[in-house]
Amino acid sequence: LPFLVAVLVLVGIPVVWSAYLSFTSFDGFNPPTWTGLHNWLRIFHDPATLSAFRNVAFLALIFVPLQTGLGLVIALLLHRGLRAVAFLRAIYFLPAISPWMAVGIMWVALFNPEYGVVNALLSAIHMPAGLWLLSPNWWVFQLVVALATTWKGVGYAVVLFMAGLQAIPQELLDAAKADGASEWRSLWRITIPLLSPSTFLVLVLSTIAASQIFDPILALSGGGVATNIGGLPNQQVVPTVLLYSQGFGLGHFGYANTIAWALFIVVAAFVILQRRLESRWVHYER
Amino acid sequence: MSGSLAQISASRRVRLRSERRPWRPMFERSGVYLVVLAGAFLMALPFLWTLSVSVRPPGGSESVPIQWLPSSVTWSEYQTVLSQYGLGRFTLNSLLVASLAGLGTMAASALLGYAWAVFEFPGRRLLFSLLLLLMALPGQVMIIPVYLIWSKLSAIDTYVPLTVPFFLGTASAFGIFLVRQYFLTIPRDFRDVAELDGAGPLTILLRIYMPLGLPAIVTAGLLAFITSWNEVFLPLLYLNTQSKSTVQLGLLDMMRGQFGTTPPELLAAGSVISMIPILIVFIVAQRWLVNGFVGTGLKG
Repeated sequence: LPFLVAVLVLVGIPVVWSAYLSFTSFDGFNPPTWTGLHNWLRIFHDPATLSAFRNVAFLALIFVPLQTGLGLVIALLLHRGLRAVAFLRAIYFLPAISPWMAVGIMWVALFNPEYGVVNALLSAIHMPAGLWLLSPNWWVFQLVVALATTWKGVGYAVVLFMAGLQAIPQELLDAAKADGASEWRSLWRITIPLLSPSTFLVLVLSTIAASQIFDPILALSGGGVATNIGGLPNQQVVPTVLLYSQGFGLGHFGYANTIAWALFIVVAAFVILQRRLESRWVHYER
Repeated sequence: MSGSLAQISASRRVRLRSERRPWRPMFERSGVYLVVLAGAFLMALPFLWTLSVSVRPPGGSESVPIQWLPSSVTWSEYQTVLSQYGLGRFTLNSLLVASLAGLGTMAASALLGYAWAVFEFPGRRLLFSLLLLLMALPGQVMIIPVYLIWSKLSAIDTYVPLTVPFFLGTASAFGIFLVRQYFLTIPRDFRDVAELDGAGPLTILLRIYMPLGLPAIVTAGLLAFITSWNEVFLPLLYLNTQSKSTVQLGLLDMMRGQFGTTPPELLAAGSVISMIPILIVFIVAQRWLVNGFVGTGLKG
């Protein structure tokens, strides 16, 4: 028990301190000075912060539905009693535990405008080549980040969905079949509703993961965001990156903490919203 | 439920339908295989391409149109990366850090998981929700105060901030949760009998819970090993001295072109090297890891 309390204290102090710092101006050396709401108001005027939140919102809008949808489809296909399920599942799962730096190297090479596989494949089917990660358009960069993140995370979603599928009683599906329900119908009427707790879990976890995205940006910008502290390219900035550059790069620890809390509040709001909507569509046993 | 008569006729109808068109299930099945295999190929493509690039001589991957397979195979890239770029040394550093993280998690999750699963104390439920909250709390909210604390303790540029939190349990919340859930499935009778024999809580933990819960404890440790091996933000934050770098930090420096632009073949070789320990752990402990990731009863 004392150990547990110690853990909580170890966690609690930084949280409280961090909340306090968000209302101050603090450079890490001099004692923090209280500046009231200044940092919080600054968030709404700072173009970099606004881009950061816009970028991460766009990223989440693509990544969250894509990972959830693909994860569900792949899990349903794998669940049909195929041979070598374990092997296939392993291939889908491997990216999930791979290091982001290694993955970043792979994706930067794949999306290389000149020598990359993606443009080679596109030109093979007579599609225009893209600049991808080097594009100055913010949404192109974030799109590739969203695709890479989906590729990396979908195996995790598959595993969660497959665990959910295993919990669905087979008798239910047998009974539906005996009643003459087509497979398609029992999929929509039985499997997917009963799977909704897993879907909810994947949605919430994906939302949280998207909001905290840092490593993918670091890796896919070729380490750029850790180097160009002062002049972050507009398309590469997300809240966590901004937090790093403001805090550890420029020494604006107070403002960096404000960004962290703003991000937390936005995400918490989304999770609470998802939880509110949960009762409308998530079906729990008993 | 419909009546039994309707049921029988319905099942006959189903049977008739499938008898009339025996090719349909087979067709469907191969269709499923096709989709799943195509997906698996897409998933594997980045790995395969990187492997293919990594064994080419410098400049060997920069051709239009692209060559899918290298025209000649060389391992010199790997040697260069390991020695000249220091990835050999960084690998040892990373192995040390990640092993400590794994051991720390095993110790913390066994102790805390046990305390959590077994002892009754006031606020137990509250603590449990707090732990779940800790798992959900974004690291960004705490990172600055935590950094400042470590810098006050002059632990910057050491492995302390990268390993000690795993022993303290602050970085191993998921492992603690995993082990606790596993411990809960161990029958209470075992403990009661041991207590009758005069065993103390620590003996019970060491003699009963640890051996029985070993799969969960090892899984927690392996997950922590992987997390620590893959971590790049914290080493970037805490380590300054080049020779103390971890593998991921070394790769980051290569990407950033700290020593001039790095040829893609060298980057690919570095990428492959950093994947090897993950692959080994994955192949050895796949089933445990997958089940561990799902968490025991995390849903709902």
